[in-house]
Amino acid sequence: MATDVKPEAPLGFEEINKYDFRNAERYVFKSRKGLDAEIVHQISDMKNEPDWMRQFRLRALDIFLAKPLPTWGGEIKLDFQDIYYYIKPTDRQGHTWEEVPEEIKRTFDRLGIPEAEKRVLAGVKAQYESEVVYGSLRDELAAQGVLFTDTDTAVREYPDLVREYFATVIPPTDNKFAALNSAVWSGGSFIYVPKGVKIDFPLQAYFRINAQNMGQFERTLIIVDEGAQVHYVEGCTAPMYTTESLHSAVVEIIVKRHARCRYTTIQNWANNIYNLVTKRAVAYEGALMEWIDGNLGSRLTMKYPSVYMLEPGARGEILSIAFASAGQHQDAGAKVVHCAPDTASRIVSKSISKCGGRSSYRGLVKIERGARRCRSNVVCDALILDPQSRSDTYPYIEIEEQDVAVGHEASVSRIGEEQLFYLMSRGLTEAEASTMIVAGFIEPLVRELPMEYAVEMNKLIQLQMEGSVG
Amino acid sequence: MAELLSSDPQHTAGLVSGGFSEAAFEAFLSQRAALLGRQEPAWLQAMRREAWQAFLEMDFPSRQDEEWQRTDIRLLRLERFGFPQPPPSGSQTPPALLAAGVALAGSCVHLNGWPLRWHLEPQWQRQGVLFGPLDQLLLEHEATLRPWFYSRALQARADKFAALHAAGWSAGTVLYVPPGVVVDQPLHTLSALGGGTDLGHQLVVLGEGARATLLAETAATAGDANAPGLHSGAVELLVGPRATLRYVNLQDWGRGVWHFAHHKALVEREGRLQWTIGALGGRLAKVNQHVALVGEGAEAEVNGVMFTEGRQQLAYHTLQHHEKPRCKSDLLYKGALQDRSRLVWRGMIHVDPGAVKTHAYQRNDNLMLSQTARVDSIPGLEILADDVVCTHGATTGNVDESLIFYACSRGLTRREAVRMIVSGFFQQVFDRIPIESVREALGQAIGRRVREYT
Repeated sequence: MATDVKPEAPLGFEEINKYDFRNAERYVFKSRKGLDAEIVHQISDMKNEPDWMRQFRLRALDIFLAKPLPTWGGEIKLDFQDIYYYIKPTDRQGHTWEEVPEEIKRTFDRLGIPEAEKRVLAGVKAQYESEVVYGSLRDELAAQGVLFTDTDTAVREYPDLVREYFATVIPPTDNKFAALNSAVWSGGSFIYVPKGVKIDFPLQAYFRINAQNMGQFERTLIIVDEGAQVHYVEGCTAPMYTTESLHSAVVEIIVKRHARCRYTTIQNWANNIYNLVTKRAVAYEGALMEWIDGNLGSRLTMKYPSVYMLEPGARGEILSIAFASAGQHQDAGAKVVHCAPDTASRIVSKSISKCGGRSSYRGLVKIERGARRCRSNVVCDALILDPQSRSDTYPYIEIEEQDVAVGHEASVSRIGEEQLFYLMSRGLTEAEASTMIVAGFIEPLVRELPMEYAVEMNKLIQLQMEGSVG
Repeated sequence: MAELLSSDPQHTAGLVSGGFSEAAFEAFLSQRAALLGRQEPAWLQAMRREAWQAFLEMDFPSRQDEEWQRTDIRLLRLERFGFPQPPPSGSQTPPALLAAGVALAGSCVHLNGWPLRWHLEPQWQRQGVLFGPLDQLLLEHEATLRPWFYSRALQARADKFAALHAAGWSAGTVLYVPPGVVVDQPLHTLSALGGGTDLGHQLVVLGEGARATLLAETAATAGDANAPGLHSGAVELLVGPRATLRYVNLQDWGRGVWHFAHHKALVEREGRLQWTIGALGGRLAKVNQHVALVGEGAEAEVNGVMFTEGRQQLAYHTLQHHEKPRCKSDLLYKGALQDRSRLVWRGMIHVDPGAVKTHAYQRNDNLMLSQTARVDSIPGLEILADDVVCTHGATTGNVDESLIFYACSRGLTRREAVRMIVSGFFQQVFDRIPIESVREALGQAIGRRVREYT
């Protein structure tokens, strides 16, 4: 039998709910390696899903198998049949603390991360005890009618809402990895913010560890209803260590009229991970969607958060930062698609390459026919810190309308000799001066981060910069 | 002035016309031998046959291919074209726009892919300059020209059209300037097409310290402005150490012409290249323009002036390749679009590892003159060295109504105002072109095209 289901206690499917800490039942489930219809059925069975979701997964599987790998971007050396597509979170800690690489442990120490948190980040321990904080926040949000849960639970508890929006922004046919995620997704966050509700603290930041939403194939769906406002933070600055080789998420966001959504990601996967993610938002009349996307970790990241502006007055802003070091390729970027008149967008991209790393900006600005009086501005800056490293810029600009103002500029350079000289003349070492310049370079991102993230981010840059000569 | 016996009935008898079949290829080769008065050398025949095999084997470019994604050639029927046919005797060629009012050091005119007439002033002949139709001069001066022809610049297997060109190239112009010779008058070459196929090849070789200016243009013959045509061409520019080449290429084919071309320049140590492209004609164009800076301290300036109208689809893919340290490249492409036309500019700056102290710049500005036009602007950087300054910029906008209003308030008609604003838009690139006849020709051609703007 390909599957082992070993109930240790009374079997409760609610257990799958990653946020539900009150449930003490445990069992262990691990599908076999590889991907076919049987595995998809198993996942669906385990999750006790409605039939429409099962059919959706099966259809997505066919699309995944039919679609070729992208011929552009980074080099993907993956055997899709040598991957576990579903592992229960409680079974995720396949390794012990001793097995966690020294460099990761060292980074934890340098960042000053508490002992208990370290073990969770390293995948040794599944959950971090912070129920009190989590519980009270959830009550507060619930009182305002905010729904905030993991997507598996949402499928069961809010089926109508989920069904109305799920896969409407990113259909499985969008790309091979969106299809893969659609077939085997598990976990991720579901957020619904009712009309006019403004959440004034970043969601997720407070319970970043507990949320466990950095699953392998997480699926996030955020609906911000008219006039509402939310800031969601995904991931964390500390390195995430896992033995799995592929992370492929789908994030869909619907920002309704005059609503605002900001989505912040700090991606710091370990350097063995392929991080192939599809993130897209649709923005309606007068709405604002902001992506703040920082990529520090992974072996290869291919991620281009996008905003589709569907009604007049919608705005999209994307801030993308990539830091590629030895053995890393950050193929990150942004896409803005203007489908309605009087829409505006801005993309700012900053990238740093060092120690043989490669960072690429890949972006799209598209103005559809009829989308008059649109404005779009793109600025890409890249720093190369040594002769072994590489920086690329591939912006696509496609315009089908006359009455537009679109600008793009990009530059690649190394740290200016004069800047270094000035700082060193003030008594800094070359390494300190370089670090300071790099910190200044990415300051626009750090400024937008919640406080505790900003502090860690700065420490992380210092760590990354150690041993590099400007 | 030399003349080719272009329509001797003895030679044209038995031609296979239409299609790029095996039989048509053989007929084409024997026809060439007859017209040139001798067989091409074995190495050249072998090169042609090898490319022909490649042409037969290679697939038509696929729209899945990133390179061809924005070039729609689904309506191209290669079988409706054939190898170049000698033009009927007494054929007229259109006037040369770039040469108007210019004292030329030499000129070379082609019609329907066959050389028609050429000359080079005796003073330059005496100094060892070679100029004329490539197929003839390659035979007469094999020792001088062979080392450069298809040497480093071009690949016969780049795509199916490049293979067709390498197999069936005919005519085209060669300019060879020996080391140290400074040709201070421009040379001019015209390729005219009245329908049919042109597989012209241009080869320019400047020896160490040489200088020259070559003005190249294409045109439709009178009355054939919409005749279906096919051009699959190649340009190789070899700029020697400390040599200076100014090269202008004005593409103004008729509106029925499919234009495919690979252009490549190699600039040696401290060489200078100024390359201006005018893209005005054709039904569809897919051009790869590649500038490689292969010696330390080489410099290249690339200018592009593009104007599309009707249902034209022009795609220019540029590459500034920095292979050595301390090179400079500066590219400026400006395009204006009218009607339902489509324009693609895709540019790349590639800096090799070790090519430090590179200064590279690229800029593309587009002016949208109609709501139904479409422009794709895709600048790009691939930087594998650290001590570089590489920058690009791209803008797209329309004509500012307030400027039109201002000009109209000063007594201009709306159309005059728009024409003035459009020419102002191109002024930045015209300012970089030192040859007056080129500025005039481009300016007038664009002025004629601007219509009512709403």
